[in-house]
Amino acid sequence: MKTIIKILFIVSLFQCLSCADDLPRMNENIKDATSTSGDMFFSKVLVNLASQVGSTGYTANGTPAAKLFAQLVTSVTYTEGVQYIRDFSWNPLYDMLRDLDEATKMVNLVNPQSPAAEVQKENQLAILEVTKIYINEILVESYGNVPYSEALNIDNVQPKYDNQQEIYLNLISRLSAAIAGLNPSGTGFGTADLLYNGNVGSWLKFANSVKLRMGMRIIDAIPASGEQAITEAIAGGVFTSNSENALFHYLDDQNNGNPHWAFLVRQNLKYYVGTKPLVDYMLSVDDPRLDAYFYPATTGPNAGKHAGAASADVVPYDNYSILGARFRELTLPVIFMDYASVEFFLAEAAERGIAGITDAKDHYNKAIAASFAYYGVGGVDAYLAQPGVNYDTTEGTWKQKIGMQKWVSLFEQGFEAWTEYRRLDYPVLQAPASAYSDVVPRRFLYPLSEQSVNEARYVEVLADMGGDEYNIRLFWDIY
Amino acid sequence: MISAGLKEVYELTKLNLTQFPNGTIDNPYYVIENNQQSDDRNRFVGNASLSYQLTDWLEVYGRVAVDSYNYIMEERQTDLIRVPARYNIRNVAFTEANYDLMFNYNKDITEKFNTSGVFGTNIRRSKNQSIYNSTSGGLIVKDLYAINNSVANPPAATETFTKIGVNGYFGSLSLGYDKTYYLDVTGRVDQSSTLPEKNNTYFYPSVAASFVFSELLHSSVLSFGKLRLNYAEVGNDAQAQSLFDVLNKSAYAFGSAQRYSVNDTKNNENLKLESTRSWEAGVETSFLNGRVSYNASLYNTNTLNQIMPVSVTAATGYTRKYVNAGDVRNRGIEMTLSGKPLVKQGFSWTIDLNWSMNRSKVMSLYEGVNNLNLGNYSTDMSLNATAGRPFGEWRGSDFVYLDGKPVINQTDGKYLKSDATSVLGDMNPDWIGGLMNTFTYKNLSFKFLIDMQTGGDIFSEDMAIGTRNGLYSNTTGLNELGNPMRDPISAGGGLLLDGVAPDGTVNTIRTEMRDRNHALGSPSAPSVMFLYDASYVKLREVSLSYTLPSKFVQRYGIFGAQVSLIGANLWIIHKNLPYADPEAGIAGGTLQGFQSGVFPSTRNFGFNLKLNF
Repeated sequence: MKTIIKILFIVSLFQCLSCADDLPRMNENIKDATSTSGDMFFSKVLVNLASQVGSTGYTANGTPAAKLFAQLVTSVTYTEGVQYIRDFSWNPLYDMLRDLDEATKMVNLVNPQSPAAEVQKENQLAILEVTKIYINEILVESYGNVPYSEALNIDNVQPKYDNQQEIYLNLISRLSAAIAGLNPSGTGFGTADLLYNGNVGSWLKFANSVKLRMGMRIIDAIPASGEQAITEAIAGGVFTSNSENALFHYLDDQNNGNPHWAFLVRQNLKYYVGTKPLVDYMLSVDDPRLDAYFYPATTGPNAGKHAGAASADVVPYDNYSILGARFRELTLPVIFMDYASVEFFLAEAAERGIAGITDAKDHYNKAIAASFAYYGVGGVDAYLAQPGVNYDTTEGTWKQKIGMQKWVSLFEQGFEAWTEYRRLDYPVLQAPASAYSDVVPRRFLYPLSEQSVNEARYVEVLADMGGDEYNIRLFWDIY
Repeated sequence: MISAGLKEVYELTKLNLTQFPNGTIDNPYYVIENNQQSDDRNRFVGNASLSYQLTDWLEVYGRVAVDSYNYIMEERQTDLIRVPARYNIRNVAFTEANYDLMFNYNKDITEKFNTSGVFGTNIRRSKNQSIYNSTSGGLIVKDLYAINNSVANPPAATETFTKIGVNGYFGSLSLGYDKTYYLDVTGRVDQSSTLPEKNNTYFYPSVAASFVFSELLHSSVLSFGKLRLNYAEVGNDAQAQSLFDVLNKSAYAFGSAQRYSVNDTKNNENLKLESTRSWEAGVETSFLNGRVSYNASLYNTNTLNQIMPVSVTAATGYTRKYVNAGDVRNRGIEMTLSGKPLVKQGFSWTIDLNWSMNRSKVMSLYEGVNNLNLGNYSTDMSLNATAGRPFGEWRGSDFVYLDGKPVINQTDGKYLKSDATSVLGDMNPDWIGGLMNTFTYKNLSFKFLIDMQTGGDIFSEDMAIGTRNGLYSNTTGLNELGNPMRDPISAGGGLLLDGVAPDGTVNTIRTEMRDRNHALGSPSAPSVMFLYDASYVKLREVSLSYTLPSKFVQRYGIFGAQVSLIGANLWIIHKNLPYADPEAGIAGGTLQGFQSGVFPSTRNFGFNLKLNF
């Protein structure tokens, strides 16, 4: 009897298990979502994109380093970035493209129940497409050839690098199609749209302004395609005032504030000061924006005055002009693209005599006025009347006149400032003597990890690009 | 010098003060004293078992074992220069239950022929649940470490919930004949929750045969001799939740906008089990009644379809992907030789010598990929598994050589670097060995162990960065002109590197040593400069033991007592890596052979009292 009880006991141990656990179901993740609506990916991307184009990085890591390469600011504490010590990563850009693909997938799954919902769906798809093009443009303008046609497919872990010019032309034609798909009478992403709060008409102007920029970027390399894009963009309607700027507005909330706030206020990091070329130029033309950009030096030989440091010099922070009051506000917006840039492009179009645009001086003045207005600085008329600023009297070619003023007005758009410096070749900048390159970089170097994770393709692209050096000019940078 | 200064500064002021430029580095003494962690764990382990002898040769055995623990981890960080005060808390609950039912049998079929074995089942269930939260933006009330003391809204709590279930069925059969011939066969079937349903069940066998040849020889010299040959397969399942993708939710909503993104690691719903297949042949011998013994084995192990998240180019939209990666082969020899050269009048001297070598080779990888990046390091160094090559090869920039001499850049006087794909070495040692000497005299025993490794390359991120920052003596002092090398070249400073110009003439271009970007540190210098031979000879352990006379201790009701003095890791007799122990750093996993911020290894001294009741 005792024996039978024992055996029954042992067998009963297994009774509880014979509830035949569904083993595969045990492996489910019951705490994280597996899918959600497209707008939540879109919001995520816009926040990340703002951080990419708006923040300042002290290492040569990618988009945030461009502000150093354009010599708008320099880091006086850590000099990796200003010495161009490679640390490039394109992960944030491809991450955003992947999330946008996911958003597109989710929007495509929506089954519209009304004509208005049908329009909204089409608008959402077009807005996602514009955002993808914007990010791809940064990729191509950073590196040159990049994975594109075979990118964003995890089943192909060794994607080839596509020719940069082919990518660029493809982006412009995709942009034209996206513009055609935007219907301003319909709705878009609503409050998930952290750029325009769902206003599709504003997206249309933004898309056309980006198209104008892309057209101008290739005007030297492929004049016909460039002019066509510019003409179409202007006809489609580009920015006509600061109120249409593509701005990302941060919140008055420590968790969702401008990264500069955390950097300068919360962490009190003493890294960035104005550069000598920028501060010297602005002083030479008595530029009132200087006080918006910077606080004057507080100690040392320049105390009370504005002074810039030479790039890569390790010097006391307080002896130079440091980032000004606006950078200490949580809500400082990030500019994805602004009206001033559009007017500078129009001034250039007039000088080049394309797209029927005339009167370069008028557009130049409007650009500078827009920049003054954006920074809330007065005295633009007096500024424009100065011989060193006046379009008729100031020295140099139109590239120099436009290039210098554009550089100053792009102070908060480091990547665009560096890219336009490469295209217009003004201001004239020198690489620091201690830098890792004899010239100011004309491109980013490929992420080092590519040499091992995508080796065969990397070797191919070295042959196609003629190497992986800072001094290799991208296809549109022919002067 | 600097650290002494920091300590004095902290002790005098009790403030977070340092003398670093533009004040971005915290005083470590302040940090140590003000940041407190705590760990609180409750553990419950229990088991119940029953066995019953069904017949004289068959027994049934059942067992339930439960291991369960809860712990709370808290981290408290005070206001530092770059980061505001912060508090976080993680609560983890873990339970594992094992249910075993086994039938053991042992039967002599004839006088010479014996059979034994076990058949049974093991059912394992584990559950791991955690929740984590932290403050954001600092603490409102100083030194109050609680989530509700957060300045900004705390992020949403992070939760994990993982369950694993494995059902196993196994059996073994051992046959022995005349204490001379043995054969063991085992088989096991596992069904795991972590693998895809369609192939979550797998079988793995082993076979072992041995032959005690000394039974046939009856030699007076050979006391024991055995040959063995075995083959075994072992199957392994995946990590939990590595099949299906989930989304990442951002910690904060942006106003009213919720934010989600796709995970950077791509899971794989087609994972297969990973397995190892190995065979081993060995000999065990003992001579002269155990005065000398010698064992050796040869093995070959193939690890197939290893489940790992491999690094992929971010251009795929992901940074890692779970795959079944290929076939890695390890082959090697292991030998031990023991002897007692002296046994006399209560004195004995024993020598134990062991020696082994292993050679690895990556036979294949996955999806047409020939190189797997196992890790990237500062500078351009990477650790790789490349098809046809040893597992764990270092790649990075090398010198550019001309007739065996490094070529110097004729504008800045620095070394020219090859591209970052040069193979520079591999992390695997050529061989490792150990020698233990034990001297015993009556109740006193003294022993010491010397360990050594030959070969293997170790990459020191610490040397790369430390040299860059001018910590090491090769970056300072006088140059060949007798001037401080850190002076500008224009003032007679700088350094003339030994090498040649690209045309083969002796280098005459001096290089600046004034700032961190100098020629000898990362990243100016080729990465190969920071790859070192990991060989070492170490006095691993010394111990002195005394066994108390049993007559003495038995008076106190103690069966036996031994006191020992033990010293471990006492002396690195020889090494080639400067300023660090070649064995310090990350151990385990695939990320081996590199050092980054390693702590000095410590000598350990212990006192050991062993009592048997």
